[in-house]
Amino acid sequence: MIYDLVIIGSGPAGMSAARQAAELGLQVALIDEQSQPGGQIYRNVAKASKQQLDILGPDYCAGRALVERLSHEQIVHIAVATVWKVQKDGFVYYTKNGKADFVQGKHILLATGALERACPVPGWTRPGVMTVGSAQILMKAGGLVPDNAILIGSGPLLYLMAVQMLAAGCKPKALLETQTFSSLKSALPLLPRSLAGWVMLSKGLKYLAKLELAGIKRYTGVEQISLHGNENAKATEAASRVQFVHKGKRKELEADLFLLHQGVIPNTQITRSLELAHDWREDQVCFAPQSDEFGRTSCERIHNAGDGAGIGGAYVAALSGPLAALDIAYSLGVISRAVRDEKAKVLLKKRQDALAARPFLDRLYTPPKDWRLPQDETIICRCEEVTAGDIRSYVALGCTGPNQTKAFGRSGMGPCQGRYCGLVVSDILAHETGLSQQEVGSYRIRAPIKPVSIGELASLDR
Amino acid sequence: MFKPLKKKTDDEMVTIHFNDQALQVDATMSVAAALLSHDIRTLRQTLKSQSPRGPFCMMGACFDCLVQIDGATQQACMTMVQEGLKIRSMQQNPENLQDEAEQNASETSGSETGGSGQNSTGADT
Ligand code: FES
Repeated sequence: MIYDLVIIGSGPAGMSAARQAAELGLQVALIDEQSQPGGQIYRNVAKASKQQLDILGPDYCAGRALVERLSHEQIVHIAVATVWKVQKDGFVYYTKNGKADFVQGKHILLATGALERACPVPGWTRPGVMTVGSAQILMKAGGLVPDNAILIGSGPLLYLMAVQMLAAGCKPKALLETQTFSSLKSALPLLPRSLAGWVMLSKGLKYLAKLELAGIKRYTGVEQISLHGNENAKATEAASRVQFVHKGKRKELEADLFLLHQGVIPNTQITRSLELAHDWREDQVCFAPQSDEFGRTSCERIHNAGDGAGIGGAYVAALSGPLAALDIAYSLGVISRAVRDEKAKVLLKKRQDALAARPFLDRLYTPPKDWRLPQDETIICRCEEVTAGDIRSYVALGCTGPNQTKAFGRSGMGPCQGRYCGLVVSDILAHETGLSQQEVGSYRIRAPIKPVSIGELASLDR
Repeated sequence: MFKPLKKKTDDEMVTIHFNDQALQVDATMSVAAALLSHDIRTLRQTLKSQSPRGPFCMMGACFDCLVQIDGATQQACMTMVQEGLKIRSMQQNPENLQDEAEQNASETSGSETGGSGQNSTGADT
């Protein structure tokens, strides 16, 4: 069967698009890696316990409505399916239960969300160092709360995480924040003078007040962060100490777990593998696929919605999904242009209002320079253990582009395919060569975007 | 390093084996979460420098959680536990994973895939 629409990713964008498309009469297949719809932001939300919902808070609970709206006879949910190849002709290949399979759509909507930005500080590859996002997933899907942990980096998620840990009775040991007073000063003029701006601000202040009340130590403007093991103990491997510079003084703290976060970036693995056009977004310090207000990409049959098209957050994603669905229904001839535009009006307005706060957040939590351009010894490609210094030495040997770095030293060629090091490599090359990130470009990504074995492929041979 | 939100009863648990160590774990967890709940954070070593690695992203993106599960290389964070699951840490780098995967997929278009049923991804033990 050929579906009208194949949606990849069942986070807020994918789920809301599926519902909108189904309501317009489209046959929809929604493919996702997890067993439950929700994406990472609403991971496991339909099955979460009362205790989990209480701890995770109202923004998480909001995902339940989206999941409920997925039960519609026009929507087929293909769960626990790992997509490894998407083709411009509408074929989507995936692996499920150890077997490869495919679906075909007249149209494709990519809703693959975000990845956490790499946090290349010395020692970030050690066991016991994880991302804040990973700890969120463990709370949502595993019922595990980080204990005796230090949160490091910047961004609203750092505070949300700390507040949730408090609610769960596991007070974070400290917050090491990279944003400085001058980041706040340069961001303040961007604070929207609108209701949305005030809501956001008051929420942020409420979180900070809670942390203060609980007596959690916050170090801001922290620099030169590095993670270390306990060299005297038998298990030297896992991180047990963080060193950093605060107000010109070198400091050290001990903990059992170190959670890093420096915001999120669009997951562009599929859009890159399709060779869609991408732009460097200086405001968000990342690449994003070109897409218009309806999520149309440089390929006619492929739309893109949610954080994968540029970071806007879950609420914005849930507005972008239906907008893409409306446009897809229009291009399939199901609704007229006038109907599309009429239905889109409210969504566009809401999204515009919600995005008003974005420039402020982007500026306030812009990744610090030493995380974007790490010192020479720092590993940037986790898979192949390539350091920032290695990349710089390739430039000295005449390497100008990210793809060439692969030939010089296998960076980006490990199983993660440059998901974490990609942006860092582009940034370092841009800095070293004096070219812009747009000119330097990014790794070429080839299918399969997730490993697939010969055994799994056997099922396609039919 | 991680605390369970709620103590699970015995019938909500299953037994898995990590490098011959038997572990009682919450049946609803991924392998990575289950191991972390027992404070096991090192799941493999890299080939290049024998550096220890463990779960980092928990969402299938970093591949630092690769383990051998019943003989096949799998991401521990993307695999759910099951009674009797046998998990081994990996001493070898999954270096060939991507190369092989690329080769495999380029063969799909021609549908020339042999049905050996063998998992090829780095399982060279
Ligand atoms: S922890 Fe990153 S892929 Fe499993």
